[in-house]
Formats: sequence, structure tokens, C-alpha cells
Amino acid sequence: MLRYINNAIQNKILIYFAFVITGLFGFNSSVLAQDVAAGESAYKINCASCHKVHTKLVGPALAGVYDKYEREWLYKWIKNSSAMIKSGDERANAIYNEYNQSVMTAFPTLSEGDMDNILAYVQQETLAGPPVAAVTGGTGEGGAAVSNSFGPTQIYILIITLALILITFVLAKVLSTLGNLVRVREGLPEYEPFSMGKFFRNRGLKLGLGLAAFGLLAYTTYDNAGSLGRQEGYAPAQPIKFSHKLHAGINGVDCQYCHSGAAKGKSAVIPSPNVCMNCHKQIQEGPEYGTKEIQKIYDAIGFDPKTKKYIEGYEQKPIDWVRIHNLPDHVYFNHAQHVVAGGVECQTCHGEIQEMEVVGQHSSLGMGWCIDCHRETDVKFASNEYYSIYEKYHEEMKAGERSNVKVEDIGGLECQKCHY
Amino acid sequence: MSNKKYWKGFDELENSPEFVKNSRNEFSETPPVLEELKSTASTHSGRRDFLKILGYSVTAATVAASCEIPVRRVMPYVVKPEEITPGLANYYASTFVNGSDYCSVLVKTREGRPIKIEGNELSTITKGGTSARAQASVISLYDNARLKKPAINGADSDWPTIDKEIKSKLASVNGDIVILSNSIVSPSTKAAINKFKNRFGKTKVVFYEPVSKSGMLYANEASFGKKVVPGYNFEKAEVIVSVDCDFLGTWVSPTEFSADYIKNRKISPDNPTMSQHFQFESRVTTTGASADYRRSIKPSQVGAVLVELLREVGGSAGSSGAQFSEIVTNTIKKAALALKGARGKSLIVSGSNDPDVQMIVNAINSQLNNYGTTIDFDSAYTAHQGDDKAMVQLVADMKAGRVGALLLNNVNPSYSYPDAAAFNDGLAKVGLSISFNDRVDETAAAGVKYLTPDHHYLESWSDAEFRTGHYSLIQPTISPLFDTRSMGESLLSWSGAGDVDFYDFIRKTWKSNLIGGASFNDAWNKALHDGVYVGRGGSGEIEESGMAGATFTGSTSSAVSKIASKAQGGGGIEVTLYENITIGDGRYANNPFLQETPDPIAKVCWDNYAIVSPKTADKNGWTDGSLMRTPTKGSDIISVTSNGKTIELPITIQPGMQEDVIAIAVGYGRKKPGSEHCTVGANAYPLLAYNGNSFDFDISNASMSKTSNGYELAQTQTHHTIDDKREIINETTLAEYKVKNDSGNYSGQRMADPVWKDHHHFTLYGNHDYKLKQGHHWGLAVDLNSCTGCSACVVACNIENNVPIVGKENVHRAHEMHWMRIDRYYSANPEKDPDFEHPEIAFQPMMCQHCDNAPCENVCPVNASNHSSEGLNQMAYNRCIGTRYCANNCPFKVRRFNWFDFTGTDSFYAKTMLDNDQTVMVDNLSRMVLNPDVTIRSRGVMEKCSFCVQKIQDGKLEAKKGKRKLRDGEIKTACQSSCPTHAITFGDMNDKDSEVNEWRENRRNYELLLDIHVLSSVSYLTKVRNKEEIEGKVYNLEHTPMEDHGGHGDHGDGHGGDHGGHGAHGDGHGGDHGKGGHGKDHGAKGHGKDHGKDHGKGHGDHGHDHGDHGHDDHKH
Repeated sequence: MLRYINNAIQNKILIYFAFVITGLFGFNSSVLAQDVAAGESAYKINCASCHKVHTKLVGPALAGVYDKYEREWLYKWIKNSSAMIKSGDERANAIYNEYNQSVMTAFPTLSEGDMDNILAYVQQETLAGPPVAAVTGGTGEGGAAVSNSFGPTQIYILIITLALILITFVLAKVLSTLGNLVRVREGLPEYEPFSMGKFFRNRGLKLGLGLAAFGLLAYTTYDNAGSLGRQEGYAPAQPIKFSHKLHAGINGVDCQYCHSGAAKGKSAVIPSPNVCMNCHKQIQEGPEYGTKEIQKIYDAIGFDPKTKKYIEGYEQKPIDWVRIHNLPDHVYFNHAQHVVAGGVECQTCHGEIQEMEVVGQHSSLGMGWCIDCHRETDVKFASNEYYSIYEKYHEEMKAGERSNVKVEDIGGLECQKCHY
Repeated sequence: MSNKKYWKGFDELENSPEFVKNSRNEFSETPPVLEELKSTASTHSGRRDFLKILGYSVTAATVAASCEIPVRRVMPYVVKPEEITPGLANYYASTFVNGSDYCSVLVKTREGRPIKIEGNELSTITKGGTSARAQASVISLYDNARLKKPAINGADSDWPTIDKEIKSKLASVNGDIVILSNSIVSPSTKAAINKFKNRFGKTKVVFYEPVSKSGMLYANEASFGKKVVPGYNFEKAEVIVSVDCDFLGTWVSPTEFSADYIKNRKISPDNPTMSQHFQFESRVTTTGASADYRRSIKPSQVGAVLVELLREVGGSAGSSGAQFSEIVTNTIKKAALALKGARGKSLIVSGSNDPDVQMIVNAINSQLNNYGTTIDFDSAYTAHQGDDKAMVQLVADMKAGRVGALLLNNVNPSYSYPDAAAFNDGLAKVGLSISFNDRVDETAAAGVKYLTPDHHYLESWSDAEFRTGHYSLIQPTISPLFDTRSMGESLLSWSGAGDVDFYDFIRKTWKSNLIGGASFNDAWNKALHDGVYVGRGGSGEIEESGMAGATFTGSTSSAVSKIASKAQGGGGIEVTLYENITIGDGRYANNPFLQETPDPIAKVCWDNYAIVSPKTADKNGWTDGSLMRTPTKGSDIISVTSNGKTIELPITIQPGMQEDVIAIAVGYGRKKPGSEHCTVGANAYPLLAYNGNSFDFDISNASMSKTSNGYELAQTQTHHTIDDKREIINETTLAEYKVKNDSGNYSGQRMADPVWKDHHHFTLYGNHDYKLKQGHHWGLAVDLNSCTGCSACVVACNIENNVPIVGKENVHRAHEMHWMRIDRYYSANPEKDPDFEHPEIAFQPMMCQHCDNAPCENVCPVNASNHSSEGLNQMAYNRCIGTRYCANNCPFKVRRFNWFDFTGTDSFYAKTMLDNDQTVMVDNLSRMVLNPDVTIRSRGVMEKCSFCVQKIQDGKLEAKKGKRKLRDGEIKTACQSSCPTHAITFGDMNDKDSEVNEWRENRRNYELLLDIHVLSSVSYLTKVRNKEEIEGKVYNLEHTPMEDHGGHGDHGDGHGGDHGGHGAHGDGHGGDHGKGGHGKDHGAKGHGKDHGKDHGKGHGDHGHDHGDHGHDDHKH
């Protein structure tokens, strides 16, 4: 932990220096900040599938690339590397040969400004230094709010309760005996002595206990019936032992690189093998299972890893994944609404997916869970012009009567937002 | 308040006690489940059965509960097509073509399945509109009755085998090769036929349409030497006279005509002008309902009316000698006067298939200089090629053995040819018969040897030239579901061109004939993207040029004399046959969506029937089972005989027809439509006789008689009746509108009255304003002036919202599920028109009004029906426990209850006692059409119009994703986008600039049932007719409607004015309702109760007025 904090501080200091240094070259630092942000998204879309900043992926690590080559050379290379190789550029051919003569995708549509942004981002990342593996695991353990397990605490409580009940009975017996002794001494008639058997034969108690038991049973039934069909924690074995930890966590591939539907519409989309092939055309061996699992992609799409060519006339076989997140048919859920309009992180609902070797269902996906979030989440009110039609809220916020607008306030709890 | 009375059915007009009782009852019968149980369950089921069922259900529940959650799989594409993202819809431009039906469309596909048809706004013909048939065409793709493979003699085969056999037989054919087809509008298919012709010299093409335009073709040939149906431009016509022509419903190009016609009928305060439309017709059509003057005539008088008109406008014609009633004669004169004032800007059309009649039409149009202005020979309709003479000749040739091979394309003469027996005899003598039809229809079953099924249009490449120079492309939106092949491809492969891909062939045809040159690829891609292309024979894009006129060279004298003899000799019982807007000539018989769409006038579905006037029925003592005429249940069945053939049909009684006239729809009585559910009605084609030129759909001297009774038609006419007709339809005349822009709009006048507003602003519902006045507040407005009753919206709504089809039995029991209906109201003045021969007819699209003070919401015990902050009246299906209180409490009668598992969501009930006839839509193939964004409702829940909430949510999301405001018009409800006349608009009432607000601010705007203050989100625009006075309107000279409401102005100083107004109203009302104890009911329910709520809050005076009002009624 200490190391993490140190690292974070160190990073911040480095970023600060990066700003100062680039500022010296005549950039306005606020503009630069924007450029880095734009660069980051462009980087994730275009580069992240083959490059990482600090380690080799399909292509070389990009750290320091902005210093290693001059800008003009980089522009040419990114736009069309194969042309450069053909033209006999020495450095180009050196890279080409170093990486098994695989050609980098050409990006003719990127403008020089785009590339500058990307390089600015690379520069920032380079200066920030390599990430530490545990960085993103910040909130992992703390999220166990919904634990239903019968842990040691519960056992202690049970034991103590039983002991207390026992003590109560013993004390009652002692009290009754002592009381009667006193009464005998004073010549008064004895009370009926306390007896456990008699206590339990009491009709009132029986009725009370019966009712309580019934109530408990009814409540438990109701409670459990609600979760019938829910599969929180469901983590089935998949046809390919795909590790999100490796891809999203260690390699840092952006979630939406594969789940490209999340920003567009209803379904986040399970990537089709041709998306896998963007990287796995080159990466033919994994750290855990070697070639075994990756071969399954090749079997699906018809690719010969030896010749690095697609097999012509191959009868492609779709991969039969097991679906983990299932909503009932009468629920309408749209990823784009949450990811784009709501700006919700994937992890909010899916848990720390970048830590999962095998993916399981993190949330209950029950209606109460949805509603809770809709009650607590702020609408991205200021940054989206769509919400300008909520004039009263805007006025109230301006007047300081309201600090935020929750999803609930714009109708997020209404039936026909999800059921139609 | 006017004394005008509107009614939907005769029961209502007479207000019989049974009707009143029934209209009070939302569910007018015993719950059918009970009936079923009574009939099927044993009467002696006792304790043992109870225990058995108990044991079974406990076990079943245990087993069900202990089941593991099934493992669900999800399979991504191996190589995902770039344009497909699961969950997002794609739209492809294509063209719906089926014989003479045409509509340029966008096909909505989800995950590769076409699920909905939208209009293509780039089309120069249909202009974004659709028809009921085009909307429903998507379900015909998933028709289980389609041929799944080519077949030889009824046995499944494959293409190589069948090609080999056909090729060898074609090579040695003995006699002519005839391609018998309905109209072919595809230039590429025509080119393929030419290739076929080149290969096989003896090939002829005969065009056959069961409901042909032969009369027009022959008349135009005789008049102008052009055997075509010319282009009509209703947009340019200021005066329209239509004689027995349903140009808004079924004639030539109804979607196009509706858009053009209504363009001239849209009226605004700035431009208070509209076209004038006279309609003379022998049956009641939707076109007649839209007309300013509608007069009923006998079928035999169709020509006579035109002859009179010709003479009146200055043409040379003798008298027709027909006997018209005074009202008709006067209207003819009026029409002639109007026509003369609009030379070159008028249009005469007739739907008659008699060349003589069409000759007179041509003469009048020519006399009025309409050729080259409203009629255009340059841009003719290529779609109407059906040639009766050629067909009759073909049948004779076949019988004589002169035809060696017959190739049938989308025609079904064994069903639709009047002398089907002769055709079948001929077919037996044809050596080689091939059918491209998509199913084993009557003709295929009559002995066609080779069945080589064509694709559905949603699976195929093709093109269309519906009007000369207006091209459109058809592109596949799904891979062929079955082993079918396009007809063009079949012809090409038989003519020896090898395996030709029809896509390449079309491109080649277009390249050489249409858009050749270097830029072909770009032009092609644009045409494919747009779906349409306007050009002419390779000359590239054309400008709107001067339209081709034509010189009338025909002679009318012989036509006039023939018409005169028909008009005079006519008489006896007359029959007019027609195609209706849904089933057409019979080719849509297996489309359950169309079968279940009620006829806009008769409101009957799943059947055809003989329509007779009230007078005819009374004279013969017939009943159609409406309650007031109920000695027996159901309609009487009559037999109609003509041409030596007799058919039997149930009757329906309808105002607006002449005595002794029967109207019968063709297209029913199919023996082999596909599904047994669709084998309904009787075939009327055999009644037709060939008159030497054409098959005339108007038949004289038929005979009829009652044969039996008790036929139960599935009629929706009075199923869902709004209790109170006073201010449901507001109408005015153009003359009055020009004086006062809220004339006739009684509700609107009151809404605008500030005092009225104050009086009624006491509510049990609390203040909605905080939520509703910001964000969105959805509203919908309907322009009654633009609604033609075409029913495209009804079908579009069904398909968009997965509204189940319930079948004939269930419609009869008032279980139809339609979220939207088009109410049809008659109105007539019984003094001027005692036999109800010339009533006015108004349509009113009716859907959930999304009341802000919704009566349905507060009676729901489980809050399944509730209100959203966007003004939607929400329905949460999974909450609904089926008490049906909401439907009972809905004043608009728009809620529908799922009595059965109509969609088959719960297969548990299939083939059990609860499995009625809901199997119409439950097979897995037809379920492919379901919209995945809309929940399938199960048995026992209530449903209703949601304002297409899925489209609202989608539109909002798009705006949010783009970080921008929602644009007006971005969200279109299904009914709105399907409408060819833009009669419906939808939008955000909080958006000051939205079109819906613009409509709502129009002084023609009104909300229904103002008195109960439900605050509808749906409003209507007053209907305006271009005439002097509204039919059936009785003006109270001392108290004109306008003065009535003038009285509201001085409301402030007491309730005198108010009382005056209501008093007048009460009088009129009492007069109407003056039967039995109804007045009492009405007073108590209509007013006492509702207003009781109001005056309970301190409006004693007001309440008192209403008390008086109720009392008035009582006295009357």
C-alpha cells in the first residue's frame, strides 16, 4: 500500500514536470491537457490493440518513441508504414525485420493533429512510468456489503444467545427456589416452582413461537422467491478459457475495444473471433495455456498459425459462449444509455472485471439493485445539452436550492423506463 | 350546440335499451373462460377432482421450483458484418410491389430479420406514405404456407432436376408458350422475359388482373390511341368529381393519391382554401367518406351521372334518361358548375370497368382541358396492364388446345377468374404448366405440374417502374428463408443464359438502359441507398417538364346510347362487386394482420358479406344481428344469383346505399389461402359476366333471397363505444371556417374560455405541473380533415407493438387487441334523408389519450397503470393482475385485455381446452416478425397504446448520446410514420416550437370529453368540409352554435349564460335520447356524478346547473 501511495505521488510529480517541460516548448498547458485526453481515446481506439507504452505487445513498446524518431518520420510511418518499408527506409526496415516482418496497420485517416495528441498521451504515460499491478485493485475487498454467508461472527452470536438463554433459565430456577425458601421461612404459601417443562407447555408461548416461526418462514420464502432465477456469482466454465485479468487487467486492453456495442446500443456485444484476430494473428501463444486456447479461435475462424494465413473455403464455426448476464424478457436494458449518457464505469455493475480470471456475475441484476442505483446516481446534467429541457431543475441549481439531480428526479424510477 | 347526431351503428341511432345496457358494460359477455369451462369440464367434478388438481399443482410447483436455471448460450458472429450491431436496427430502402400495389419503403431489420415497413420519404410517388397492405407485407414473408422447395406434380424436388425437365419440355413444346402474369412493373423482369422470348419464339405475355382497369385501357386506346392508365395529379385538382371510384382506398395508386389529395385539403387560418370533392357512388367507400358531397346512386346509374355531367359542362351528349332523386340531380348540377369554374384544374375519375363509361370520363376531362394538367400521359401507370379481352381469348385458346406451355406468375385464375371451370378445363389441355406462385394455391392445386416458387420481395433483388420514369429498386433484407428462386432468374436459366445472378442482370439492365456511363457505380449506389431514381431511358435525371397532354379523338355517341339503355333498362336487384382495402383481389387472404383489420366502413373483419341499405333490409324483413333488430342472433344469410351462379353471404345493413343494391367484396372465399383460419367468406368472382369488352363489376338484374339466419360476423362496430357523442366529432364547413376559425369546434371554444377553465380546475389528482411542465410532455394530435380511414396506422401499430391477432371467433366476442382503432361515425338529417341514403361519414383514429387525469390509473389496485413524469399513461404488464377495473373506467374504451395466450408465449396451453383459435400467429416462423424491443404480453394482463414508448426511449437516447437536444419530429409513433396523409403528429408539448404544439394552438383543435376533465394528451382538429352546410345539421335559427358560446363571454357575472348554453344543449340531447328511461341514466351518469366531484369543492351554483340539466333530460 505504501508503495502504491509513493508511486501515486511520484506519478503526480512526474506529470507535473511533464506539464512544465512541455509548457516550456510553448504549449498552453490547458490545451495540452485536452490534447492528452483526446490522445488517450484515440490511442485506445487505434493503437492499444497492438501497442503498450511500457511493454512489447504485437508491436514495440512506445515509451520514448517521440524522442527516438523525428515527428515527420513518425507521421509517415503511422500513415503508411509499408510504403516506407518498400521505399527502403533503413529504420523502417529494421523495425519490420525485428517484428517478424509483420506490417503495422495503416492509418491514413489520422491527421497530424491526431497523431500529435496520441504522442502527447504516450509522452505522458512514458513519464508516468510503468504501472504497478495492484493499482486498480483499490476497492476490491471492501465491496462485500451483500455477503450472505454464515461466517464466524454469526456462530459467536448464536453461541452467546444460546448461553444467555440457558443462563436466564438457570437464574429463573435459582430465583424461584430462593424466593420459595424465603417464603417458607416467613410462613407464606409457596409459589409454584419454576419448571422448564411447564414453561414450554405455556399456550401463549406456543402460539407466540408458532406465529414467529410462521412469520420467519413466510419472510424467508418471500425473500428467497425474489431471488429465484437470479444468479449472482454465476461463473460458468466457458468454451475458451479467456482471461479478463490478462486482457483487461495486465495488458490493459480497453473494454470497449472488444465490447464495441456498449457505446452504441442495447447489447455490449460479445466480440466475434475476427476481433480477436486483430491481435492473435500475431500473438499465438498465451502465458497460461500456451497455444491451446488461442487455437480455438483459429478453429472457429479458419486460420493457419504456421503460414499466418486464413484457410480458404473453411467452414467457420461460431463459438458457443455461455451467457452469464441474463435479464428477464420484460426488462429493457440499454448499455449505451448507461455507458455513454450515464458515464457509468463497466466495473460499477460488472465488478472488478480486470481482476477476474473467470468472469462471474457481480451484481444481483434484481430490480431493487437497479432502483437503488437510480436513486443514488447523479445525472450528468451540466455536460449534456439534452438535459437543458429540465428548466426548473436548472433554475433551482442556479439558485442554490438544489445541488444535484438524481436519475430518480428525471423519471428514472418510472415503470416504462425499463418495462415496455 | 348543434342538434347533429352521430352514430356508429343503428342500435346506437335508435338507442335501444339493449344497446344502452351493453354500452355501459365494458365486457359485454360472460368471461369466455367460464363458458369454456362450463362446456368442457365435467359437471360432476367434485372433491376427488379437486384433490387431483391440488396434488398435481403442488407437484408441478415443486418440480418447477427445483429446476436449475437453464444454461443460456450466446453465439457471436464469426466475422461480424460491419453494419450489424446486435440491438440496433438497420433500415434498407426497398420497394413493396405486388401486382398493381406499389409502395416505396424502408425495411427495418433487427439482427438480420425484417420486422417493420416504413415509408420512403424520398419517393416521388408514395412520398413516405404506406398502405395497410404494405405494412402487413412483412408478415407474408414469414408465412408458413409458402412453398419451401420447388415441386414437380406435388412432390418436392430441387432446382437442377426441375430446370432440366423444364428446359427439355420447353424445347419441344407444341403450341404457344404463354406467360400469364399480373402486371409486371420491373424493367429487369421484362428484360428477362424478352430474353426468354428470344429463345422461345412462340412466347406471348398475357396480363391478368382479377380487378382490372381494362375499361380504362380500351377507352384510352379509343380516345387517344394510348392503351395505358395515365398519371393523375390530384395535387393540382381543385375540383374533383369521382363516380364510383375509390381513389383513396383501392384505385390505381391510392397511397399516392391520398397524399396528393390531402395536400389540397389541409387547411390553415392563413390559407383557408381547399379542394372541392363530389362523390357519386353505389357503395360506401372511404373516398366517399372524405368527400364534401357524397351521393349514393345505383350501380347502373354510374354512366348516367357522367353523361349528365358531360352535358352540363358543355359537351355534346343526349340525355341518359336515368331517374335521379332531386338531391342527386341538384348535386350533379352543382358539381358541373364547380367543374366549369376550374377548367384545367379539375379531375373526373370513375372506377367503372366499362369502356363506355370511361369514354365519357375522357370526354369530360377533355372538355375541361384537364389533359396535360391534372392528367399526364407521359408519366403513366405501368402497373395496370390487366387485359380482360386477352384473358378471355387465352382461356378460349387453352380450351382449344392452342397453348402448349403456361407459365403463371402471381395469378390465381382457378380462384379469381369468373369462369374458373373453363380455365381449369383449359389448364388440363396445356402440356407444360409452371407456377411461380409462392404457395400451392387453387390454381396450383388444379393441376399445375411444376411449382417454381419465386422469392418474397423482402428476399429478392428486383426493380420497379410504377410510373413511367419513376424507378425504384428492391433489395433483399434477409437471405431467402426457403429454397426459392426469383422468377427472372428462372426465366434466364431456362432460356439458356446459364446460372445468371439476377443482381448482376439488374445492374446490367440499368447500366445499358438507365444510368449508363462512367459514373454508373456512384449512380447505382445512390439509387440503391435512396431506393428510388427518377430518370428517363438513359437521359439521366429529368426536370419536372410540361406534362404530356392528349387530344381526345374518341366518339361518345355510341357510349351515351349504351349507357342510357343500361340506366333505363337497369333496375331489379343490382350488385356491385369491389375489392376492399385489406384483402384486395384475394392475394392477401392469408395475411392475418389484414384479415383482422376491420373494413373502415362496415367494421367487419375475417369475412365478406352482402351490404344492403336499411330500406332494403326492412322491406325484406332481414336483420344483421344488431341488437335492435334482434329476434335472432346474428346476420341473416342471403343468396345472390347472377350470371347463373349463386353465392350465399351474411348481410350487414349500412346506410349510404340505394334500395335494392347489394355490395360484395371480392377476394374472399379462398379455398387454399394457406391457413385454415383464413378460409373465410364466399367467392364473389363467379357472379361476374363478360360483356364482350371487360368484366363489369356492376351487375344488373340479379336476384336475392334469404336462405337462413344466425351468422355471426366479427364486427367491431359497436364493441368499444364512447358513451357520449356530443363533442366527439366536431365538424364545420369551409364557409363558416372562413368567418370564424373555431366554428364547429364547440369543445375548443370552451377550452379557450378562461371562465370555463377556472370552473373546472378542481381536481382529485393533485398538481402535475411540477413534473410535467419541464422535461418532456408527450402529445399527439390528429387532423380529422386529413384522415381517410385507410387503416395503414392500425396495421403499423399492430406490427410495431406486437399486438396479437386473435382470430374471427375472438373478434366476434369483442376480444380484438388492436391498440388503435378508427371509429367511423355516420350522421344524417332524418328529415331530409329518411332512408339514410346520403349520410356524412367521419373517421376518428382512437387510441389511448394518455390523460393527465387518467381515470384508469386510480382504480388499479396494484398500481400497474400509472403516470410518468413525461405525461405517459404507463402500463406495467408484470404488475397487472387482470382485474380489468381500468378498462371499465376508461372513458375512451381503448384498453384491451388478453383473454387468452394469443401470442403463444406460454406453450403449456397449446392444444388444450384453452387453446382457441389463437394459433393464427404462434408458429415459430411467424413469430420472427415480433419486435424485440416490445414485451410479448401473456394471458391475463391489460394492454393499450403506449405512444410507442420504445421509439420515444430510442429517440431520447440518440439525443443523449449526441449530447444535444431532442429535435422535433425525431420521434415518430408507428401510426404517424405510416400515415400517407400526415394526419397524425406527435411530439413534445413542452417544446414551444414543436409541430404538435402548433396543431394544438390551431383554433380547430379540441380534446374529447371535455366535461370529465381528463386532460387528454391527444387532441383532434375539427373536420372541415368544403360545402355550404353540414348534412344532418339542424340549425336552430334563434340559437346558432356560435351564439351559444358567445354567451360564455359574460360568464363572470353569474351562471345565467352558462345555463342558457347548457339548456340548449339539454334540449337537443333530450330530443335525441327521448326513449325510455335512458334520459335518467344519462343524467345521472354523464353529469350528476362527474360534476358532483367538482361541485363538492365549492361550486354549488355550477353543480346546480348541471343538476337541472340532468333533470331536463329526465323530463324528455
